[in-house]
Formats: sequence, C-alpha cells, structure tokens
Amino acid sequence: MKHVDLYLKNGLVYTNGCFEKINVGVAGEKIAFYELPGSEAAEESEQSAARVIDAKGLHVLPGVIDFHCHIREPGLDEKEDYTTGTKAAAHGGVTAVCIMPNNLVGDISTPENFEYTIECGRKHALIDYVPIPSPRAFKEGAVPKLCEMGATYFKIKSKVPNDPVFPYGDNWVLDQALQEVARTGKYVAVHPMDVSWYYGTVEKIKNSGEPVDLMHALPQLYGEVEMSSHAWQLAYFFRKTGCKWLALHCYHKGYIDLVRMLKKEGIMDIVASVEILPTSIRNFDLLYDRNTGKTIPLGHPGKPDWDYVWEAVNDGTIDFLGSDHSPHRADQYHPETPFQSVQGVPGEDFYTDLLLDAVNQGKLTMERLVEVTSVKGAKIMGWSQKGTNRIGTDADFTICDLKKEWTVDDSFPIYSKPGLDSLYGQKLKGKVTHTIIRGTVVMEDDQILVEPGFGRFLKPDGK
Amino acid sequence: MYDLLLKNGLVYLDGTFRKCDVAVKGEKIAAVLDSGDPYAEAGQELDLTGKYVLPGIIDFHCHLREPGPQIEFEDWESCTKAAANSGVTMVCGMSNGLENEMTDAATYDKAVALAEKSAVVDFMIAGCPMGFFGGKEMPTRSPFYKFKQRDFPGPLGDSEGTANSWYMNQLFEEIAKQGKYVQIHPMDMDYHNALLEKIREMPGEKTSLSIFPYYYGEDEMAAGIWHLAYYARKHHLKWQALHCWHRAYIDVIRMLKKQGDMDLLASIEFCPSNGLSDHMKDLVTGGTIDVGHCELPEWDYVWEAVADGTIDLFGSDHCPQSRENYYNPDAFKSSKGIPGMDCYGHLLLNEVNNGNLTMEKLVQCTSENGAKAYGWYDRKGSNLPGTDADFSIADLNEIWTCGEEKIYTKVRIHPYYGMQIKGRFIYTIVRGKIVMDHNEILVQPGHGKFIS
Repeated sequence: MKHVDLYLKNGLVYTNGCFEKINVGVAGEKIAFYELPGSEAAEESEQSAARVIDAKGLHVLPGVIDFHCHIREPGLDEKEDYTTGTKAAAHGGVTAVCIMPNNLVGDISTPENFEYTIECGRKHALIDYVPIPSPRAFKEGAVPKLCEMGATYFKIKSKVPNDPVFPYGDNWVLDQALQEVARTGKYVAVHPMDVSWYYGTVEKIKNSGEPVDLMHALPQLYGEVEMSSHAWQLAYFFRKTGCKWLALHCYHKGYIDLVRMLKKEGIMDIVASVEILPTSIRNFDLLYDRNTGKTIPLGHPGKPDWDYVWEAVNDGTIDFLGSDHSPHRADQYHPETPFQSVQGVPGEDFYTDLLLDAVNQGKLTMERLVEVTSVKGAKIMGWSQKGTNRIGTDADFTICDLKKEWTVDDSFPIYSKPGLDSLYGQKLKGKVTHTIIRGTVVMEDDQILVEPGFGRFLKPDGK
Repeated sequence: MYDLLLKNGLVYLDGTFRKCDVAVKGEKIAAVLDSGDPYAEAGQELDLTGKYVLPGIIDFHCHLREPGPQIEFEDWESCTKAAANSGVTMVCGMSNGLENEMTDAATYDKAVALAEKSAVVDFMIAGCPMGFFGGKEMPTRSPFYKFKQRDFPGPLGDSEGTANSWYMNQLFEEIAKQGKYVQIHPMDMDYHNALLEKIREMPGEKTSLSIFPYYYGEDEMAAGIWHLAYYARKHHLKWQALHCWHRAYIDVIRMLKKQGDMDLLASIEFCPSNGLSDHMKDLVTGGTIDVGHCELPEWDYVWEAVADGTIDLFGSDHCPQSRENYYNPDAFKSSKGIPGMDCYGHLLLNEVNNGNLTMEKLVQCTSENGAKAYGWYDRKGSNLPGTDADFSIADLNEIWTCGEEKIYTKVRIHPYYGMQIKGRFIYTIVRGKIVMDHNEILVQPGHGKFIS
C-alpha cells in the first residue's frame, strides 16, 4: 500500500503547463504521485491518506511565491516581523516570500547581518523565506560570502538619503558593485529612481497650489519618468558589467518598452517584475485601521496604464510578480505632511486573491498566473524544489476557489501586524482556500495552522 | 555659355560616382552632361580627369571663436579659409565658447552678421538652447541646437546625476515643439566627476598625456546616452547623438535605430578621436605641444558602424585654443582641443585610401545625410541640376606630407605636421566660385552665406 500523508482529490491541478483534473498524493514533504480521480488506485490512496482535501471545483496551483515584499525584521519589527508577515503571506496564498533588505539592520549587507536575519526567520517564519541582501558592503568582500551563505539575489534601492555607499544615483559606485556581483552570477534587483526628477516633482507638488497631502502627492511620485528614465540609464551599467538584472517595478510604459527591446535584442541577461500593491491594480486609496476603525487617506503612487502592464505580463516581458507589501504602523502615516510620512501600501493578506480577481476580469489566464507567480521565478532563482508541481519536488500548493465572490470585511482577518486594510469593503472574485507548504496545510479558510519556526530558509540549488 | 565647366571628373550622382561633366551658371548647377559634351562652353573649364567631384563637404561640428573671448585663436575668416583649404564648403559652428554661449537671439544675430562679413564658405551656427531657462529669447534662427549634457542649470536635491533630468525634460519638450534637431554631447556627470577624482588620486605626474586618455571615455558617454535616449524618445525629439565612437555607444544607437521609433542621427568627430595629433607642431615657436588624446575608440568597430549606417554624419570638432594654456601647470585645466580643420577633409580621403570607407559613404556622411535631415537637401548635398554649385574636388592618389602646405587656422598650431597622407582636396567650390585651388584661397571674405 502506498504511503500517503496528504491527498488532494478532484481538483484542477497545474501540471505540465496546464490545469487538469487529477488527484495528488503527497508523501512527507514531497509530491509523490498523480492519479486519475475515480480510479481504483485513487480510492485506495484516499483510504490510506492521513488527510484528504476535496478540491472539487478548486484550482491547485504550485505554491505562489511572492518575489518582492517587505517584512521588517530585523530592525523595524514593530511594523512587521517574520511571524506576522509570513502569517499574512500564508493567508494570502503565499508559500515562499522574498524579503527586501532596505531599511533593515545594516541593509542586510554583511555576512553577520545576513546570518542574523536567517536566524530570525528560522525562529519566527511560518512559510519558506528568502531574505534578499544588499550588495552595499561589496568593498569589504561581502558579496561572495553572502552567495556562499545562500543569497538568491541582491537588491539596491537607488534613493537612500545620505547614504555614504550609494549616494543619490552614483553610477561610479553602482558600476563597481555590479562588477562585483557579476562575478557571482547573481541577479541584482534595482528600484529605479531618477533622483533629480524626484526632487523636481516634489518641488512641483509643493508649489502647485493644490493641497499638499498624501492623497494628492502620492499619485505624482513613482511615476513614468521618475522610474523609466533611470531604468534606461541602469541598462547601460548592467549591460556593461554583464551583471544579471532584475528590473523591479517594471510597470510604466517607457520602462516596459525598454525591457521588451532589451529582451528582443538578446544583448543582456534581464528579467523583469511587477509589484502589484503600490501600482493601483485596485483602488488602495484608503487604509482602514482594523484596530481603531479609522481611515487613513493614502492615495496611491504611480499611475501605470494597467492594460499596457497586462500586455507585458502576457507577452513575457514581465517574468514574475511580487506584492511589494510595505507595512507601517498607523501612527507613521501623516497624510497632511506627505514628505514626512511613510507611504507604503500593505496587502499581503490578500495577495493571491487580488490576482485571482484579475483572472476573473480577463486580465490573464490561470496558466499565466502560475507562470508569473511560481514557475518562471523559481527557475530563474534556481529553486528546483519549487514552483512546478513536478513529482519529487516540494509539495507546496495554493488552492483557490476561482468562483467565490466575497467582500473584504471583518470576517476576513488581517494578520499583518499593523492591522491596516487597504481593501476594506471592496469586493473580490476568487479566493485562496488553502496554503500548503512541504505537505503541511499552513492556512485553511483564513485560519493559520502552523507555529512560527515552520518556515525554512530557501536557498538556490547547490547551496 | 556656362560660367564654369567641370570636365571629365567622376561625379557623385544618385548614390554613385560616374564620369560626366558638370556645368555651372551663377551659383547653381546648370546641367550634368555626358563627359566630353562638344557643345558645352564655359568661361572657365577645369579638366578633372581621374578626380572625384563630391557634393560640397559640410563639417557638421566645429568650433569657431567669433564673437567670443578666444577670437585671438580663430575668427570667421581664418576658420572658413582653413575649411576651404580642406575641401569643406560649409561649416556648422558650435555654440560653446562663443559670446554668451549663443544662448540668445541677439548674440546669435550678431554672430551671423560677423560671419556674413568674413566667411569664405557657407556656414550655420548651432545656437545653445539653454537660454530657455534664463527666460531669454532663444536663437530660433539656428537650424539646430547644440548642448552638452553637463550644461544644465544647477542640481536639484543632492545629486548632479547624469544631468538634471527635470530640466532636461522641459528643454526637450520645448525643442521638440520647435521641431529642431539638437546635437548633444552625452556625459554622465556622476561618472565623470568620480573619474576625475580618481585620476587626481593616482600616483605620478599629471600631464595632458597622462590624464587626457581618461576623458570622454566609453562609460561616461555611453551611460549618458541611455539616459538621454529615454527623454529623447519620450518627446519624439530630433536628436543628433554626438561623438558616437565608443562600442557601447554605437551599440545602443544601432539598437535604437533598429527599433525605428525615434528621429535619431549619430555622428563621429575626427579631430579628438583619431589619435593622430598627440604631439602637435607649434608653428610660432617651432616647439611641440604634447596634448595627447582622449579615450580612443576601436576604429574597426567605428568603421563598421559607418558602413552599416549606424553613423550618419561626420564632423571635424576643430577646436582652436590658447597655445599657452596647453602648458597649464594644472593639467586638468589645460587646453585639450585639436585645431585640425586645415587637414580634416584630406584625412577623410586618407581613410578611404586605407580602405576604411568608400567614397560614396564619405559623401553620405559629409553632406547628403545631414543635408536631408537639416532640410538643406537638395540645395546642398545632391549635385543635382538647379542646386547650389558646391563641390569638393578630390585627387585620391596624391601622396603628400602635412606641413609642406599653407595652413589657415589662426592659432598656427599644426596637429598633423609631418604626417603622410594619401588623397587631397584640390578645389573647393562654393556656389559656383572656386574658393580654394590647390591650397590657395581665391575669394574675399564675405563670400560665405548663412544657411538656415
């Protein structure tokens, strides 16, 4: 008799590039076999399984990976720590999460910082986690050490005020850092930001005569020119150094055109991602504080042309997605003084739900959704255990009810620490029902079922 | 009866050279005739057997000094004579270094008036568009503009950045509205400034020879180009990408042209990039000026880009400067310009003889392409009947040594002294008048006209 720990029956399962109705047997942490529903073997498996989930009418996706989010530990744990952040992620259907280094201790740039971060995750994370280091300590020889320790890629945010290593847009230093990372074969992700454009925009907002608050200011920041023009400039240094480029926040026209052109020309190693929360994929203008019932008028940054973005997602210009979940405490938002305020949008709790809603709106197919939330990214990152639903790989699944229509209200918990809800009161179609990681049901019907420490540090193959 | 008949030469027509006679009446080409047409009569005939008759060469990028603080090193008369000496029938003078940097209409008009008095070949001046920021009346008579990416008003915030994007955007919008081309010298200022700092920290004596090779390098220019490309594309700017000689720069221009959604020309300027003038002869003192050269391109790669059409235009970048300042004790402040106009055209013929480009390509890059882009075609650059009778006439076989001939540049510095060259322009004809005949200038100042 087959050993089956978990048996998923009657679901529409993503295998070999498409969805088919098939049952999945999980043994231990791995996908053990597939078999046809209703077969004799299936009955036997179901009998012997320790746990059976009937996924009739549900889609079984390879575990959704959030390739870009901000969990604030270590350093800003009061905003979000590994436990709350990964609970929110599991709730949002996410089985593994990449965590950006900016604003964390030492920008996670030294082996010591990295080691400590890994340790924080080991103790506190509930899902698999990938802390992304910064290459800023490259002059001290940190880059190869970080790779040896299991770094998947590196991240630089261009705008860091008074940063002695990367002063505003310093191409001289950037060039050196990229040369250093190029030797390791790792990707460097950059948030492009034309700093002089940014300052010009800030001045314009202040002198516009319009009310200077978050609601008015934010839509003018992170815009087409600010991001795209710097992306064009970055292209030179990535091409020159041969460093692999993860073009972050590729959601504006001029930026998408650039990436599409570079891919077509085949002159450099480039992958691109879109992060969906800060880009007004939905109306996120109001942050509802679940603790106090108050609402923070936030507005949304950037104003991408989403039709253009979806086209890029569907034609392969965009390789994968991220949430860019950026939690802050409610008292850190100062709507009346936007340039002294935090500006991030939280939303990890419904990350996959938002994407299912987009599928229901006809923006992308379920197959494409799988490609951009797991298959392509896992391959690029070098995680052969993730993202494919192949037999023998990690049994990570995100199970979804594509037809479910629901409203984000108090019955839907927010696990993210500040308890801020950017979708409160809005309707969605499509909802995650289960998040399964390495054979264990981590989230079911909005409830978290594992303890902190279940998550594992995810490293590229061979590390 | 024609005024001038150019007989038996190889004449550039419709993209190729063929043997025919060209008849000139007044300032215009009256007819292109079969070679040896028995009925053609003219007041003056030149037998050009074995010689090439090119549409007059336009130098799309050079530095003149009048009006301006450096007039003792060059003026309209001396520069245009040097141009004619080299086969050039029209010069495009750059704004930088001239009075008020040619940022306003009044100074521009003054410069044109001065040139009309003194020039011996046709001319235009590229005004600088930066007056836009000072609320000045821009020199809109200028057929195209020129600026360096470093010219923008002061930085916003803490960064100089590649340039100031905020201002660049406004300027491009304005220039695009005017529908003019703009020549831009790309310069990533972050990179440039950091590089200078690094050179200062290097051990050893700092001289032009030791530091100049770090200037105008691939990173500094090519990084600037990508950034400019974004804004140029955004505004549908008509853009002439200057100094397109480094590999990565050429690559991006080639790629952008292939995309086909931009109005884009690229040019190479010869004097600062060919590395032939490291040790210039000072004809006044008899001494040698060790100026060295900026970061040199891979010329095989450049010639390939010329051949495949990535490069559209040539210029000399003739740049006369104070001889004393070549000896400035602070090498960072010393003159670095090369006053190469007297030999510019001849050097191009030498490159043809070296097998680096064809005569047809030379015509395209020195007149036809630019005349088309700037709206001077077919008046200039075509050799078609009815158009300006501007010719640069070349003897491709003459082997000669630079320095034996007269030069006309006022600064009296010869960058190519002693160099052996194969190929020589023997006549320069501007609107029907022979301006240069074998190193001699035959017209009076004032023959040159402003071409708008």
